[in-house]
Amino acid sequence: MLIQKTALADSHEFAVSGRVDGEGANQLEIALLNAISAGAKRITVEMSGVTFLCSAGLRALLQYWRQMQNKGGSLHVASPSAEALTLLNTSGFKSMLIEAV
Amino acid sequence: MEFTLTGRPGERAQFVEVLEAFCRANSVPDSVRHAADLALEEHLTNIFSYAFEPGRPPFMVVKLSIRDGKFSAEVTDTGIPFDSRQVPPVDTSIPLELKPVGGLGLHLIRESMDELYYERTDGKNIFTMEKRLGESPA
Repeated sequence: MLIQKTALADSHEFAVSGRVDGEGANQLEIALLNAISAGAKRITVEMSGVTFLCSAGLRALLQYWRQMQNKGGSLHVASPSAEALTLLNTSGFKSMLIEAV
Repeated sequence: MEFTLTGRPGERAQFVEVLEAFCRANSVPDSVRHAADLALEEHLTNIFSYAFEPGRPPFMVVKLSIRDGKFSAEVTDTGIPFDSRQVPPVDTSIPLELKPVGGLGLHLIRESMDELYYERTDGKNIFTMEKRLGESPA
């Protein structure tokens, strides 16, 4: 799994690609934790390149979505691949998606 | 096809390669391969996480097969008795603010596969997951 980070002021975007399995979810958690520690107010997890997503990845997203909410910030998922979108919808995570403009 | 897992570094990635090779060799549709990949990822993670007391080495065997038009994965482990089919389903309509973090793995196994079977024999859990290779009947 690869994570490409882009930060502009307090907006951080993570472009995640590849397999978000247990090990991938751990990498994602570390990246999100580092962003929060760096003062991110808005986090976007771009998932167009995700080929596999499991519950460990969902748990990481949920955990840090809550942390951002508690800090008055936001975490959203953008452009999920078909595989990621199916899992997000099936598990009731649709409200985490950025609405299409 | 049979694969043994004991918690060695890199074996989960090796198993994914074995699963993919098995599916290619048997012309398993991508949708079935993906569903099996997800269900097995969730089940194996649950076994490693919860089935063995600290200090007790994990041991599980996965058998992959195609029979009667179905993909089948039989997972045998020597952990504590546990039939995940008895766990109540999660309510996925709960909003994110209140959503529990646990239970999603079992939910995804149920959503991914068509049939789940469990038995406890000779001190081992045997959990079998099946998915039809073709379209589901209407």
